Amino acid sequence: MAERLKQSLSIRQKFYKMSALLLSVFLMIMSIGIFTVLREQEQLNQRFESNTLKYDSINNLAESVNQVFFRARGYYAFQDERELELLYENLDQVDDDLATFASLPLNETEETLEETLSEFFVNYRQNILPQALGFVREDDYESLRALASGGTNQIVNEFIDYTNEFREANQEQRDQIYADSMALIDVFTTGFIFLGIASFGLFVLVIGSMLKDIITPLNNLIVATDNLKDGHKAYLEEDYQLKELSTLANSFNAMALEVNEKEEELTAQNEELIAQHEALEENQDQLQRHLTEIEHINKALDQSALMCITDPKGIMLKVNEMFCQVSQYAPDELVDTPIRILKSGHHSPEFYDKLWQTITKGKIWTGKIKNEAKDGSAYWLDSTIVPFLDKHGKPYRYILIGIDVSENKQYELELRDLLEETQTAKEKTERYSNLNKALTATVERREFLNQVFGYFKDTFAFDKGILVSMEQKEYEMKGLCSVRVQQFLTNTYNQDIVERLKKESIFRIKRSTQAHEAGIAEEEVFAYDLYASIGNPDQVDLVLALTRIGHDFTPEEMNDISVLMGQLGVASSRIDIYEAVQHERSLNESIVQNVTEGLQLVNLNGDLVQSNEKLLELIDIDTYRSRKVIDQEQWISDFTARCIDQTKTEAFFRKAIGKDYTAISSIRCQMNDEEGRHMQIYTSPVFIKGDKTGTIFMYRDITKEFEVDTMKSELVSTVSHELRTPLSSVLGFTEMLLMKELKPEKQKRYLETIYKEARRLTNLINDFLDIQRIESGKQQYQMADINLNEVIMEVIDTFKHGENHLIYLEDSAAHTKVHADKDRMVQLLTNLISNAVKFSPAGGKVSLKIKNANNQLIVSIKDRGIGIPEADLKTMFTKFKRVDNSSSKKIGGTGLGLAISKGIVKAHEGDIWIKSKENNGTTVSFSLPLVNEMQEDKHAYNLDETDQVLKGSVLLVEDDISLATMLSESLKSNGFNVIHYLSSQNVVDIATEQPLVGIVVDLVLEDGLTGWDLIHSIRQSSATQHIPIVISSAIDKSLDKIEEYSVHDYLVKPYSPKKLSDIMLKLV
Amino acid sequence: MKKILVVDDEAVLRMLIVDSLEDLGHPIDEADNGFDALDLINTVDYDVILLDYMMPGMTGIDLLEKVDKSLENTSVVMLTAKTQDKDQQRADEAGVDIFMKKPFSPIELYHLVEELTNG
Repeated sequence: MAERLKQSLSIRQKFYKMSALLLSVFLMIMSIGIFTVLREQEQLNQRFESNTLKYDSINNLAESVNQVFFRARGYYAFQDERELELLYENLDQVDDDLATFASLPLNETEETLEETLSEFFVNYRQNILPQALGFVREDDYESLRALASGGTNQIVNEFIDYTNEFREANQEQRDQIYADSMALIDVFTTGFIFLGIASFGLFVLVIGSMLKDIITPLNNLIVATDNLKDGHKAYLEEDYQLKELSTLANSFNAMALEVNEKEEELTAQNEELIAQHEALEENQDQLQRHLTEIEHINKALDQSALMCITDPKGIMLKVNEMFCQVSQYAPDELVDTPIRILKSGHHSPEFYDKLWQTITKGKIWTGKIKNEAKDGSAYWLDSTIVPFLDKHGKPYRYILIGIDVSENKQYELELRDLLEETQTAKEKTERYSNLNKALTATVERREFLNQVFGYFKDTFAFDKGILVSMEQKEYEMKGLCSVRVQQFLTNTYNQDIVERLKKESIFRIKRSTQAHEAGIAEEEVFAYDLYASIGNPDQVDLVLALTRIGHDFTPEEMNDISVLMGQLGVASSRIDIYEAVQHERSLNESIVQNVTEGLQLVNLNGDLVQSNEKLLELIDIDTYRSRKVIDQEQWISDFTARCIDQTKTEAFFRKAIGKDYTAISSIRCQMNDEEGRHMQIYTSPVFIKGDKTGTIFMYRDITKEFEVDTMKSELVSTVSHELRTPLSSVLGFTEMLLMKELKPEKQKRYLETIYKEARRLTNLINDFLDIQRIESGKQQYQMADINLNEVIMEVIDTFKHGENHLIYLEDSAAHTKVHADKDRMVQLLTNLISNAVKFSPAGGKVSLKIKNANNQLIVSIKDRGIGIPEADLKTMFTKFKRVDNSSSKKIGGTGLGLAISKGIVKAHEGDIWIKSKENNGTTVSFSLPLVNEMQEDKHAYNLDETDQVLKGSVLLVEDDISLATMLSESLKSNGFNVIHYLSSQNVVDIATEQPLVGIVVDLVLEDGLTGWDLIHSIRQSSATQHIPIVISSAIDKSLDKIEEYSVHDYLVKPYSPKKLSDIMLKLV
Repeated sequence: MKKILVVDDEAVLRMLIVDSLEDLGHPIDEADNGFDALDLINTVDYDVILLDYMMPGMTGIDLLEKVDKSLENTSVVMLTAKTQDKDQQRADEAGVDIFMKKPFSPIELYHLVEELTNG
């Protein structure tokens, strides 16, 4: 701060410093301004002067030149010698002027001009002028004019032109200079005005700042002084820029500090005085009060209380009148006597020890003491013993103040006894009432046991106990381990007790305690077990077992328990009945709710009282679910709204709910929902004691039965139609044969027709019986494991004699064993193959393929016949379904074949499906589950056709089915696809069907061609001649033919199938 | 000469009917389905039509309902294996004059048509 003080300046110094700074700034700016003005002025002047000089010299030159020519012409005209003289003078003048001009700063034009002029005038003076003068003198004006026009004039004119130009330019320059100087003057005037304003501003700023330095501290001083005046602390910031102000602040602060200190001192002294005064006054008051109080107390004590003062040892020093009166002693009998003569012996020695401990410590004791009066009667004192302490804090006197409360004490004791008694009685009543509640109101067995056992626990203190319902195995217990409880329940442990309970409903056993029961007792302790039960001599129901250790059951308690058990018996049987009723009820309820018929109970007023779940499903209105009673009109309208024939249904309802209507009746109605279900509604009155109390409606969904009925009648109608048509033919033609004379060929035709139609009739009846048996499940199936490929070949064999169909089997199934009825399989395959043959009337190939997929054997029968329109595909398997078009009509049939086929496949847990395109053939496929015996061969088993690495196809022309099967097993297991063809006809057609690895031919076939003819035909066709042929025959080799037909190999039967497979494998 | 039309999808039955009526000497047209029959009925005025009930595509009843012109002067005989009362009722409603159950007697048919063509 000191350093800062040094930095501060006095006001005067500050003023001088600021003024000097201001002045110097002002002067500096002014001098720079003036200097600039002067320099600019100088430059302008110089420019002006040089211009004037050049102007003058040019003017002079022009004048002189003019003069020369003026004089020359004067001389030419007048030949006056004076003129000639002047001419020469002027020429000299020109030279001078030229010299002057040249000395000036010239630009390029001016220099050229000056040179030209100088040359010209030199020439003029030396050549032209003497020549001209000569011509003048000779008077030869012609020559003179020629000379003049020779160039003299031109140069002179040029110069004159220039002078004129220059004059104009010069004038402009001067005007410019004048304008510049005027502008300069304007700039400087503005500058000086601005400078003046700036200077004034700066001055104001400086003065202002100085004033601020002075005014702020002064204001602070004013504020501080005001503060001081109001008695606040005042302190001034001392760090001012101006020295005088800092000093002033310093002095002020010092003064303020001193004033403050003085003031505080004074205040403190004053307060102390006031406090002392008040304390004094208060003390005096208190003293006065205490005195009065003590006086009152004394008086009061004397009149109402017993008072006795003793020394520290309990020797009575003083007693008051009351004390003597109550204790019946005279005052002198008591004084100097120990106070213990008053002891009644009611209190224990500890009581007195406690008392003395309290008061010897200097504390006050209060409590009730029972004392004995002189005549031996007792009295109760509500006493306060106050010790008086000496200055060491030791009691030197005790004062006992007591009030006789003998009478109060008596009442109090009596009251307490009474209260306790009442409380016990009340608790007992409460417990009993709870028990009663439990006995009468509880219907839950567990809850009942809990309540009752709780009552026992509360009422008869016991250590261990259990209350068991023997039949339901439910119990409540206390202090027993679960093992023991289990023993008790399972009747193993307590057989004797139960037996005894059957005869005696309550008994008690005294026994020695076991070690864990006796606990820490040293002498012998007995345990008392009480058993009680309800039931009858045959059966014990509720058993109560209680154990007390070292504490017997009193006869009253036994009696109480016995009575209680009687009550429990009643309650228990009530619960039994309740449970039975409840069980019955829930059984009935679940029967009602779970029957498949809708049930509805209507009371005598016709209002709906109850309905079961099934009915709610039918009606499906939320209000019905709330189980409220529904008004008669409401439910009838809701129910009839669901039916198609509403008037009939409503009439039925109204009739049935009539009070006098007691018949059982029913109607059928169809519901108007989406499914159009058919319902049968039965009604039956409900009777209680012979009076009608309501009506039951039962709703039975007979849609199924209805459909079956409809189907049946349709079927009957269809069958009758189907039967009547062939019958018409048979009867009609027979009648014709019998009644008319006919030509023999007509007779034959009729007979043929009759035969055909009779056959049709037989087929129809057979098929109809078949489908009937299959659909009703009455068909007996002789199931066995069979190889289906063998069966297929057998069936194909039966078609061998057919006209123009090539039937072959393409076997790529590794497994062909299925569990099936062979006869039904034959029927199924015959059905499907004959369909394929029938519906490809133009002939062609019928190919059967078998393969494995998903553990199934899939058989497809494919024809290239007339096909089935797409619209009919879905219904192909329904009975009497035939495609309605003219071509199928011609083919005929019973319309039951596919339905029978489906029935057979379904019975074998398989599936059947059909694919077809009109005019493009039909493929019927069915699948059958494979027999699982080859599980271990999983690899081949699970392969689908596409996965199999087929090595190619082998055509097997062999009509010995068992041999063909054997060979095919071997070939298939080696990865070949086997095509079986059982006929010798058209082998080439089959062989061109697909690329072949080889053809195996049996030389002896039953039908048609011999083996060699067959081979010949194969070799004839270009499509098949390259295929290797293997002969399989029982006939010995014929080497010529083998060579002729280039037979690949020749196997003589019997041979191992492996041999053939090996040959084929080599061919691949 | 009276014109007779036989409509039945069973060729054997058509043959039976035609043969049993051939002695009457009337020309007999045949149709094996309802559509062809409808065309014939609409173009030719037949005196007697012998009509099967159950035919694929169009039943005999459907056929009668589709005929444009009046068949007042035509006797329609329905030959059918449908024998229930309701079938007969429907046939009556459709304008069938005589309902004949299959199997029928060719001799009876002969006499019936003879009667119809004489009247």
